[in-house]
Amino acid sequence: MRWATFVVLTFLCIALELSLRGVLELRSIGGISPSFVAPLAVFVSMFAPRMTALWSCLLLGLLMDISTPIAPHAGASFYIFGPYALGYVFGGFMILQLRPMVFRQRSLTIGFLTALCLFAVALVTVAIFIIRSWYAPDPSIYPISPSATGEMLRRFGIALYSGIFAILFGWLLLTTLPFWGFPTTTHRRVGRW
Amino acid sequence: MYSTFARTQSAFTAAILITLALSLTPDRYLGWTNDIAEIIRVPTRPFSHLGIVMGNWLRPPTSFDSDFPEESKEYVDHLKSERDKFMQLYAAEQMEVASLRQTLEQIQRVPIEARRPLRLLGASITAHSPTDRFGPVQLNRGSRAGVTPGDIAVYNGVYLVGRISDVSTFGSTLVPLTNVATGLMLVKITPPDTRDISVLNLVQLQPNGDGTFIADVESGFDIEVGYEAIFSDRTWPDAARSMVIGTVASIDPIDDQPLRNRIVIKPRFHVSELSRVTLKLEQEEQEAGSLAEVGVGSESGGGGDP
Repeated sequence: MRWATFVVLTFLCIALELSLRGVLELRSIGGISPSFVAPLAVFVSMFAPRMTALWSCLLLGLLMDISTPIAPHAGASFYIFGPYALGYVFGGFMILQLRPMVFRQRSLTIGFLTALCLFAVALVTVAIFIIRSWYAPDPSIYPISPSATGEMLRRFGIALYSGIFAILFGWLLLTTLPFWGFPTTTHRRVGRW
Repeated sequence: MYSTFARTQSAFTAAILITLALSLTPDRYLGWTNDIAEIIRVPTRPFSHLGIVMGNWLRPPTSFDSDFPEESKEYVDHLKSERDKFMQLYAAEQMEVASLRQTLEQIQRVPIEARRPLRLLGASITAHSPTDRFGPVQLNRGSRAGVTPGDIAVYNGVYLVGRISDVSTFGSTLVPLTNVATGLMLVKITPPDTRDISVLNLVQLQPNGDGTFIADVESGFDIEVGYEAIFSDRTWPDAARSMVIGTVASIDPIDDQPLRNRIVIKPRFHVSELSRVTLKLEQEEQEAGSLAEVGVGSESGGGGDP
C-alpha cells in the first residue's frame, strides 16, 4: 500500500469529518451525522495486507481520538488516546475476517461493512468510557453521560447513517483504487453498486 | 524496512497495549495530550476551516428574525430603531450606575472597581467535534490575538454561545453553553422584548445534554412559554451578563414535587450550526469611576460581529 496516498486521504477525511457534519446532520434525530473516516478504514481493511490494515486502523482511530476533546467543568480540555484507536482496530479486525466472504469492489459492500465497523467501534469506545467512569472524579464529562445506553443507541444511529452514506462515499474511494498500490488488486472497472 | 516494521506483529501488539494503557489513564495525567493534539491538528485546520465555511454556506443557521426578509428596507429601519432605543436605554443606565456607585462609595468609604472595557474579536470555527454535536470546537484565535481562558463567545451580538476553555498561540477551544461541562448558570427569565431585569425570576439552569437547558422553579413564578433567559451569573466575566441564552420552550409540572415546575430553555443558536463567533475580551482594568472607559470597546484586528 502506498502510505502517501493513505496520508493524503486520511487528512482529507479527517478534515471532512470535522467540518461537514453540520451539513449532513440530522438535527431532529439526536444530531447524528455520518462518518468519513470509517469508510476509509473499511476500504483499507478490505484491500491492504493484514498488518498494514490493522496499523492503518490504529492510526485512524488515534486521529479520531485527537479530534474529540473532553471538556472538564473547570480547567483546560484534554484528550483520551485509545477509545477510538482500539475501536477502529477491533472494527478493522472484524473486516479482515469478513473480507474473504464479500465482493470487495462493490460500494454496497463498503456501506454494509462501514455500519458493522462503526457498531464495533461504538461497543469498544462506550465500554472504555464506562470503565473510566468507575474511577473518574467526574464521569459526567464523558460522552456516555447521562446514559450509556442512550449513547450506544445514538452511535448505532450514526453507524446506520454512515453505512448509507458510505455507499456513495465508498464508490468515490473505489475510483481511487489505482493510486493505492494494493497487492493482488485487479483494476477492473470499479464503482459498481 | 518500513513495511517490515508495519508487518511486525509484536510491534503492533506493543502498540495496542500502550494504547490500552493510555485509554485507561486517569484524567489528571492527561494534560499533555493537549499539546500533541494541537500539533497534529495543524495540517488539517485549513481544510476543516474551509469545509466549515462551505458547510455554513450550504446549510446556514436559521434566521433569528422571521418577521422580515433580511434584505428589506423595512428590516433595516427596524434594526436602526431598535439600536437607537437600546443606545438610549444604555446611556440612561450608565448615568444611573455612576450615581449609585458614587453613593455606595460614600457610604462604604471604599472605591468600587469599574467594569472593564471590552474588545470584540471575530473568530472562525476551524473544527467541530466529530461525534458530539455539543462538543468543544476549535477557533482560529489564540493567545497571540489576546484570547484568554474564560473569555465568552457570542453570536449576533447578544446570544451567548460558549466560553473559551483553553488557549494555544494560534487557536483556542470553545466549549458550547449546551455542553454539560458548562455546569450550573444563573439566569433571569423575562418577558421578551422588554428585558425588564427588575423581574426577580432568577433561576439556576443546567445543560440537559440534548442541546437544551432545564431548571426547576417554583410553580408561583410568573414564567410563560416564549420568555427569554438572560444570563446573570456573577461567577462568569462581566461581558456575559445580560446576554441572551434562549427562550422558554416548555413548562411542565414535576410529578414528585407538585409545587415546582420544570422549564426547558431552548437556545437560539447551536455552535455546531455556526462558522463564526465573536469573542468578548476584557481589556486591562481602568481606574474606578472613570465613565469614559466604561462600555464596549472598538472592534479590532479582523474581529467584529458576523
